[in-house]
Amino acid sequence: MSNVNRNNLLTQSCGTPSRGRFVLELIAAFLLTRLPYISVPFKWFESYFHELSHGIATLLTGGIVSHIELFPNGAGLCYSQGGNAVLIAFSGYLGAAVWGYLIFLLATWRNGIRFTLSILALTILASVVLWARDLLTIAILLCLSGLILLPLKLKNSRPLNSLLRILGLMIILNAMASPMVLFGLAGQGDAVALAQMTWIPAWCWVVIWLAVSCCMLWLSWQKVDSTKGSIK
Amino acid sequence: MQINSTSIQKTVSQPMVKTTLSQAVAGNRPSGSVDDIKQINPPAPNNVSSYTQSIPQPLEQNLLSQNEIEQAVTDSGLFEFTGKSPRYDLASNGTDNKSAKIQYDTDIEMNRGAIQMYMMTQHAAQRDEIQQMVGIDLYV
Repeated sequence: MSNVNRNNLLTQSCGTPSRGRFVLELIAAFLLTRLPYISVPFKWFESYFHELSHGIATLLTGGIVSHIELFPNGAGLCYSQGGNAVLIAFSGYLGAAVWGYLIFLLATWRNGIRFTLSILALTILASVVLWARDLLTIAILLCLSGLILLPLKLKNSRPLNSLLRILGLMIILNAMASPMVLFGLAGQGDAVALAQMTWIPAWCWVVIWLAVSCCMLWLSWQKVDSTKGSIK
Repeated sequence: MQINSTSIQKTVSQPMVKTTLSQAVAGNRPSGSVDDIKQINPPAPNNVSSYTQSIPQPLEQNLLSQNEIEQAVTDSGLFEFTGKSPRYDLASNGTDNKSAKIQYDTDIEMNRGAIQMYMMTQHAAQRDEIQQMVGIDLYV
């Protein structure tokens, strides 16, 4: 068996995309995040993982999450009590980018794609039970779990990997774009809260989040690059 | 006959007072004083064809006086939504029942945003204070 064929088989079993495919998926993700109306549920994903990260950071630092709120325009709130305020505030944008990368990584696991999608849907449904307390948030979260579960109806697993990779890239791109909005906000947002707590200017925090998101995108590219441009 | 008219007065006069109170909530809604109500709903001596026309003349005696209504509105504090005095609300008049109803419905939509904004900002400082007190943090 030639090296190229061996590479192809290896790539097909692990679901890692080629460079060309990655670029195509990245362009698709970018376009989807820019299209009006269609981009809305994908903004909810970023918003959800942002608030989920606040929640996880709260629990990890000994606090209690009261509830989370999601809004149709992509905004979100996390009500918590206790915990390390700096870590909790910092974890939102950081967590969204990390979640995006994690989803991208899991999407390269071809055999476990259905398991991954099911786990993601279960995570969202658990958030509904534990943290969602208003109808709008519940509706948005049910929409998201539906979007995750819908591709499971496809019999062929190959598009599932591609779709999930695009979703992961969209979350990273949204996590990159969202902190930029904070530049235009005066007196609100995680960056301002962190600035008040740490005396480090808000723009520094925004730059850090941007750098982390870029790093996650680069790590995704590295994952692709490790296959050395196999044809797929 | 007298017994019948009395029963009608009791059933009809109650919503009228309520209507006047709700008019104070939404400033743009048509409203009228007791005298205006008299003009809109004149007694129908022979032909009872509508709800308003069926109100007999002695009803006026059972209605609250203008001062009493204004006092009730003032006490309820509802006119704060409009920023106008209750006297102003009661003085403005809808001339026609039909147009008044249309205006009434339309203005509910228009005022909904304002009322929502009011509800959001109402006691905002106290809410913040309570949040601080119980230690609830908010992360955007």
